[in-house]
Amino acid sequence: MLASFAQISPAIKVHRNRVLPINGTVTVRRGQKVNEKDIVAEATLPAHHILIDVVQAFGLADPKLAASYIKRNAGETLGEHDIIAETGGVFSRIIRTPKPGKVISIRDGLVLIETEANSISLNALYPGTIVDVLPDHGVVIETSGAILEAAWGNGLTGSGPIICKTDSRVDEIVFSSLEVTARGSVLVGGTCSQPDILAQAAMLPVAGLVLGTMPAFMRDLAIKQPYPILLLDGFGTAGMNSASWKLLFSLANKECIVNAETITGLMPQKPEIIVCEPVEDQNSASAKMFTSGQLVRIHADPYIGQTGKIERILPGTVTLPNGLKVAAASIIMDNNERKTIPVANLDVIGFTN
Amino acid sequence: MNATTLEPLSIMAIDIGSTYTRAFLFDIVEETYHLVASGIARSTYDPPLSDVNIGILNSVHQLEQITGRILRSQKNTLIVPSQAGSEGVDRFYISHSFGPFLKIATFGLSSDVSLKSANKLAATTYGTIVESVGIDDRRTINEQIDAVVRAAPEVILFAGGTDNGSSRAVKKMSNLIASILQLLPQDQRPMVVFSGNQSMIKSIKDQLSQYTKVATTANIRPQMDDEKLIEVTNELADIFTGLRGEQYTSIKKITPQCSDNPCPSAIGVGRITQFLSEVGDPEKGILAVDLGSGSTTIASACSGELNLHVYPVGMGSAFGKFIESAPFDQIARWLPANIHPETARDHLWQKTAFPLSIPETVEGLVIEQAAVRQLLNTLMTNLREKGLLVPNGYDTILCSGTTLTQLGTPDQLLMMLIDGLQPVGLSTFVLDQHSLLPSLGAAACISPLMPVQLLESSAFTNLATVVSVKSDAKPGTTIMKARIQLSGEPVQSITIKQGTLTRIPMKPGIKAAMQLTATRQSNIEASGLTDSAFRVNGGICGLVIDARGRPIKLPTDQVKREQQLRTWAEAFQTQ
Repeated sequence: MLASFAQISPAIKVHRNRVLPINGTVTVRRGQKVNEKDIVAEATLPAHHILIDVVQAFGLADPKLAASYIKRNAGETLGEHDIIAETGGVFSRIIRTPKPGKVISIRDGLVLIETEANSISLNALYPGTIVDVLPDHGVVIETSGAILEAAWGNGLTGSGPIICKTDSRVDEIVFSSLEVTARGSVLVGGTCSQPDILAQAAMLPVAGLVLGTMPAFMRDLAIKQPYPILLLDGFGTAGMNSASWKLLFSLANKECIVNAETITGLMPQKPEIIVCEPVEDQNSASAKMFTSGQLVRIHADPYIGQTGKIERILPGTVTLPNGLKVAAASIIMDNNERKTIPVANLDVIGFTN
Repeated sequence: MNATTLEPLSIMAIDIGSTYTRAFLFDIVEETYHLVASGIARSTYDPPLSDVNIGILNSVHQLEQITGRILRSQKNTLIVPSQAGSEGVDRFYISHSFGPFLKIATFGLSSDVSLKSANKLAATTYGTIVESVGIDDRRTINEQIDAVVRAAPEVILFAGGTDNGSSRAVKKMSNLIASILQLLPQDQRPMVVFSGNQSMIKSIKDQLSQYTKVATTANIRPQMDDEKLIEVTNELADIFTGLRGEQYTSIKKITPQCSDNPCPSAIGVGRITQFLSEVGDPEKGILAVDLGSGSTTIASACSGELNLHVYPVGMGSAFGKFIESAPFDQIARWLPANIHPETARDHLWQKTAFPLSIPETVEGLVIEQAAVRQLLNTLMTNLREKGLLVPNGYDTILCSGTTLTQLGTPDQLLMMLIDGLQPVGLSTFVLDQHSLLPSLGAAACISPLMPVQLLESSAFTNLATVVSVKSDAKPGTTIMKARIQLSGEPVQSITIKQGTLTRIPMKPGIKAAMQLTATRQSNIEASGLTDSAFRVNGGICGLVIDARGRPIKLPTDQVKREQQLRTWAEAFQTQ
């Protein structure tokens, strides 16, 4: 059976797409080195449009007549109240643009004007090398370092040094963790079940919050926070899986990037935390199937956030205590207990490209 | 679908879903088509593998292991047609429901007529309507343009004008679409599908094809009072398949081997539903529910008239969309007493992060069943409000989709389905435990005999016959008496009280005569039932009489609600 992966790696080279929401201009070139805040692409978001029907406004019988009255060409820039069309003569009737803008097209007596535009800039987010330019869209950046993929993110990005704020992977972040030294840092903890802590962290402010789990009732509140929040193992109070905890603990005080955006669609990407460092060798897992000996993380009740090793994949199907018949594996848990777990609830710990 | 006798041929069908790819092998056994074997593998259309063929070949490999037949060549391609030595298959079909929902903007003339038809058409495919513009739109033209540009649709569905009718309004709408297209970057311009006045096709193509791809179909409303939804739905299905091929080019490698155009899975479900309604009771309908991972299809048909609806919610990859839109208390109301609501909330959101996960505990299973109840209930309410359900109820309710059919014991599934769908009248619940419906529909045009014979086979399980009575009587009031006689057994008389569930054991294949006598407190005709004797068929869950009223009203008080749910569950289990 094809394995799913808990993307947790201490050293890996990865490619990350940075793509504009609409067409724009790529401002970097292939091979260029970029830093986190460098702008890699820009675009102009059209905001408002005006369609002026010259035929209707002048009461023309034939749309072809409109062309002789229209005084503008496509692409022309218009100032406020500039004339769009006029009939001429002693009692000339005039159509003016209500707002400054640009003529997009003129067809069948219809003049289309774009009146406002907002520009957007896309930063690199990941320090690294541009390995590909997607013309008019964005870039592909190669970066490297330690990477941990998250189950959920609140949609924001940020960066700062990692500070572990709980004593163990299952402990809760408490108010006393939020002292002034945490300002500008990415806080790491097992779990957090007090809503006020999220608000308190915003007031410091922190650069990010990385938890194993968080109760789902705090999800809406987490989305409203001005800093990125990642849940590596998901929802509840179980805390963080031991592989992620050990890795983050080893990375304490190092600068990290928290990308809590979830991208869906044709090129999906999960939220993640990256500590960028040079990497010599690729360290991606080659096995795409579940096999004996693999380290796994369990992502469903009653073992959320626990890890173990696949002893063997059980043949056929296994009947669970709730009566469901599923493909399952025998897992030796970290505490040496043997458990039968549906393979659908397992992620192999490692990294695949 | 015409069930004439055809040359017997071996058939392989593949259904590529958003989570799993299924392979089915059908062949003639004793002069009748049978399901010989099925295989299932993870779908592989998205990164890191990004090739649908890997999932297809993995599932076919399972067929080979089960049957011992060689279905792939040494070059790892499918062997179609079959070769000497019984290698390969004679016919090969694909149905598909993978990939993100397309963003569709609908354009029409009158919002009550052509725009309504365009919206109904859009609902038959794996698309979400992101913007709708009619000629009677109250927004200014500039606001309409801004709204469509912001919505960034991938497809524009444009309906309007009766055939050879006035062209002025169609032209006006076409001008608006042309303006919008020019505002969008060339590579982000939506394809336009025109399903309107056929005499305007050339002019629409001439105008809009300068900016984008234009496809045309038959007029969805050739006359004001004539809607050709089914015909245009099939044409749109081919266009949709083409778009998927452009998004996921790997599928193009295998489609030349198909015996018919790959078919969106929802269309397959619709074809079977429509066929069954043509041969069934003309007064009653056929309902098919295909609860998938990335979408849910509900097909409702009566006398060949099909209403097909695809919703962007499911129990796997699209579970998050449902949970985001469903008020939590609406799901929690179905939870029994021993489950804390916050535990349920955590479990449901965890499933959005890991949509393929399987509930391992009794508690987890019950929580997910509560979510399915609410999901089905929400969709049925939506269809009822749109007037798209058959008023006289459904003779047969087909239930398909792994996430539905594998989510509990038959008893649990039936209870979940009755609570979610809340049928009225006399209905037979049939379980498609192999999720065959999309594949049967995909094969139906070229190999019509196979689906007809499969529908009568043991591949489908008769779950139960359910008699559902609408009544507003006070709970506990006697609303009717039921007399049931199984062949060779004495008549059983049962008093039915308002608010109760009654289950009578009756094995599959057993038939019984049933007669209902209403008291003054109920009106069985309103439920599409009659006081004359009628025949009921057994099922693995027997016969169920649901006298809880419609819609099922759960007590608002938590303790009373939990007590009520416990009472129903016990009644269902013990009888």
